[in-house]
Amino acid sequence: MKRLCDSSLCRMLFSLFVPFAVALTLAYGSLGSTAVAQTEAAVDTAPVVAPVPRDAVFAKPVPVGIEDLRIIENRVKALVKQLQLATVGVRNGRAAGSGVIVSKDGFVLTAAHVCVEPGRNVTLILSDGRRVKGKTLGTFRGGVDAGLMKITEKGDWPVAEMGSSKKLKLGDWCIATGHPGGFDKNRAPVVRLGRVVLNRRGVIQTDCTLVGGDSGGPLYDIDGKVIGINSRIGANTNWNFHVPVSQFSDNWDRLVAAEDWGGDIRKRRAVIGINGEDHDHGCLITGVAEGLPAAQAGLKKDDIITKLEGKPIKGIGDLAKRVGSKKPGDKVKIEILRGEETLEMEVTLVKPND
Amino acid sequence: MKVESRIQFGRMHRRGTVLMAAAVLVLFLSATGQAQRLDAARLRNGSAVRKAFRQVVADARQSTVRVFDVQQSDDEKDDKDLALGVVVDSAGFVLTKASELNGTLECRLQDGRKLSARIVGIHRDYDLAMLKIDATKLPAVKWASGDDAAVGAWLATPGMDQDPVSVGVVSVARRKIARQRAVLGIEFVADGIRPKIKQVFPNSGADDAGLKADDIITAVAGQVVKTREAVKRALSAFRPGDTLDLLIRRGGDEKLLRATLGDPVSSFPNRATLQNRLGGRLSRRRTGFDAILQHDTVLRPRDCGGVIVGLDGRAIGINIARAGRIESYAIPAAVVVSLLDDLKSGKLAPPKSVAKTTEDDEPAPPALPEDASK
Repeated sequence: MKRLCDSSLCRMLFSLFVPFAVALTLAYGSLGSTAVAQTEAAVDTAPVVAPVPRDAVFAKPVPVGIEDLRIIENRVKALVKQLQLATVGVRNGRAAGSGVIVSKDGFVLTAAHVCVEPGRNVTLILSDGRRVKGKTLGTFRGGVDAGLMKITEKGDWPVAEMGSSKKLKLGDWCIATGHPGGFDKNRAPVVRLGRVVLNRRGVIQTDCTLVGGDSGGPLYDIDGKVIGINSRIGANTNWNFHVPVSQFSDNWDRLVAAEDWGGDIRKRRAVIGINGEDHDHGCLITGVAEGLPAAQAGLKKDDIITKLEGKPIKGIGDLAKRVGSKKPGDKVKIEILRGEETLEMEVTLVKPND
Repeated sequence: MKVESRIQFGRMHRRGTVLMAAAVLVLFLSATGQAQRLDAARLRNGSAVRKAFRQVVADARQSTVRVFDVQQSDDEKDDKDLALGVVVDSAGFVLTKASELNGTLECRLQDGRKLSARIVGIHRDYDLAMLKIDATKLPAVKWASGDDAAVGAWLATPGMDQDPVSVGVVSVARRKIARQRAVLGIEFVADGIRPKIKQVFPNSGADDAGLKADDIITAVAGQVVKTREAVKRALSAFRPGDTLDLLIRRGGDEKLLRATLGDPVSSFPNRATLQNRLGGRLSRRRTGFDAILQHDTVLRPRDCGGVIVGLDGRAIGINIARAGRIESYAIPAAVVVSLLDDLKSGKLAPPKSVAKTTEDDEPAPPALPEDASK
């Protein structure tokens, strides 16, 4: 976050995980016998959200009148039930957060700071109050804040589908849910509607207002797919920040493998050692840093990096992101275009200060 | 597409880590080329979006008033905007939020008239006050009938302008919000039974009212108190947000101080409180309602007291509290409608002596929570 804001703003950013005493009593108080009584209501539901094509109103800069508003409202109302069902409360030690179930076998997306670290036993609370056991898996920290959990009990869980955060446009309508202040049996996951304010590398900002306890809860698009995970807030009600869901899909295997990485982004992010710029075929190298992996592997100025690990590179930003999500010491295969020639090489990434 | 920015992975020999940081910064700035921030007007609550609700609030805003405290100091007029209100009866009855009221009340109508108002009824459980103004043939608000607005439904809060002051959606279905203990913000000296103050907590109601260590409380809201227990019992009849008179003895003097009670959470802030304050001030009275709809409209406390409408333009309730960063509360229309007759009838009239300020107590204080001081 630091890089997105001036220092005064930074000081006002709060992560939304609440290790709080007040809400703790709330949550405890709420989980008695009533939770059991409510159990039947829940499970059978989970109607699949039909893939309705988006109405033109969702592409408009602003809704223009009552009819537009009604279309938005009908869409939101049709979605909320399922969006709430997939939203869970998380109890991790004394602290409370949120999460969203994305697979029938119980994978739960949340924030890294809600997981705290891989391998912790947590309690997940379904929207009907049912408590189930879970375990924290991978945590991708360092300003990213993506975390994964898994329900360790058997069951057929209500799920939300993971969408894509890569094609979000400013102004896209979105819905956030979560358990602000911790799970409360008298209250279903709390629904907020807003728009995408900013979608830059590594973070989505919306005006879906969030507060402590919302951490790890889902941000959905207007098709009901998960596009982000609630992470932190700033002083203004329009300052609500979410982890893009791409951080989960791009790093899925590592998250499932319960890796813990990204702790201090400056120390732990991998580098390759080039300057570059966007090019039609990938990333054009404009400079190679002496002594760093790219130079050691024989990369040269004017080479074009076209692929990283078999996947096409879409410019310098894409390359930076993908290299940045690796760990120092990782070996990556890259494909380059040098003149007419296509070359393949393996590069061992290093820490920035190596 | 060619982007001017360059990024450096790692350290160039001579420029060192400074360049590294600079490169990262440039990357972020360069991204603004494609991805700027959403124009403020297009935010969920931005002016362009609120404009879409113009028709939605067209009727209800005709019934909406602003309630002011028109205190006249010597030569300066100091009008204080207290709350919104809504005409519920064409004969001049205006409903608003009780705990925001104080001073000399005046309603400003949509047609520009400014009419002095008196309180004719207060419903403490729902924090509603009925005002009477001398006017007739006012447009009374139309209430929604049937079920509560569904979760996800749009809501708009009409103000004095043609576009709503704020818009949002229903976040949580109807529920009860437990009452919180009222906190004055003092600790008593533990010796003896006298209500002598040991310390006043900073930023508490007691602090704001000017209470000091060693003061002895002799009366609470007109009720004589001789013991610590009596003070606690007297305070227990009040809620956070209530304002009351305290008679104290300081040295040889008697002083009358007016204090507004807080809630335990705000009085002793923690991280959750701080987060809930991010985004603006909250209503002082924001708990203890038997039925509310929670919505995500961002309101100022002084924008509470009026109606909130659904897309069909009918009032689905009264905005009664700004309760947190993400939460505002509305009393459902059906509940409000059921209270109107009592509020108008005079049955719930506040005690005469304090009729203007409303905040003093109703008759019999029920029993007691524990220490109201802590």
